Amino acid sequence: MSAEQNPGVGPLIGSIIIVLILLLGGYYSLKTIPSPAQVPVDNSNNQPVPVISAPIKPPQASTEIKDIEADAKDVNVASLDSGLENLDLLIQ
Amino acid sequence: MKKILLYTTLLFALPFVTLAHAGHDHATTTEMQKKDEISKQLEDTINICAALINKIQDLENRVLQRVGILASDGSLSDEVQDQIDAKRESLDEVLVSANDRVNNNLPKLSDLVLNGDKPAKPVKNFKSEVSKIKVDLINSHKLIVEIIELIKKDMLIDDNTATTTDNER
Repeated sequence: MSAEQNPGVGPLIGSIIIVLILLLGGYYSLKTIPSPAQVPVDNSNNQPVPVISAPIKPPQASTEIKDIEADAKDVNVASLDSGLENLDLLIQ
Repeated sequence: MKKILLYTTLLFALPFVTLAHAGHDHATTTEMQKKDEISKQLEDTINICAALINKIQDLENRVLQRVGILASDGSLSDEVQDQIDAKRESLDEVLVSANDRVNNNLPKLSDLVLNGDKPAKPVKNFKSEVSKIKVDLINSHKLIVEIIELIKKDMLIDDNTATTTDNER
């Protein structure tokens, strides 16, 4: 049975080929779209730095020199660096 | 037959459109999550700067209260008092500069990071501003420590003088 004898065979074969191509394309697209679990998120390093740690004791308002000196030693300016490092990791 | 072909093609094109849409949605969600994390990190950095400035200001207030008490008792020499005044002026200037950077410059730069197409350059500017604040904080901390040392030194000299006087007696 040739295509000339049955005019519906040609378009049918064409449709089947198109469907196969579309199915292959769909499968390829599914494989290329990353699932949410595959998104690389480094939680160990990207944890935001806590703004201010909860005070263990109420803030001292003492005006004694030794108390002020002790509190001055507790000031940690280096805590800013870890925040900037986290920012770098997020921007990359 | 042509209609069947057309409908078949359209029917199988539909999953493609759905897939493309799903992919776009996923990319948008990931982008938004990342933006949220960056926004939180920027906010945290600004808050850390503000907290450190508050801490330095608190120390300054307490030191100045002590200086006031010592001055009213007459137990602080004029020379040390003048040195403390000079350092206090420098300290105020540094803190005003740091406060201005934290309250005005950092929020503006933070907006540029979040709303700009290419965040790399605004991030660089943000980091540069934070570095300047860090320098201000280090300098102000140093001035506080110097004021404390001046007070301690003056009190120690007074104590030694008193001890000598007691011994002489």
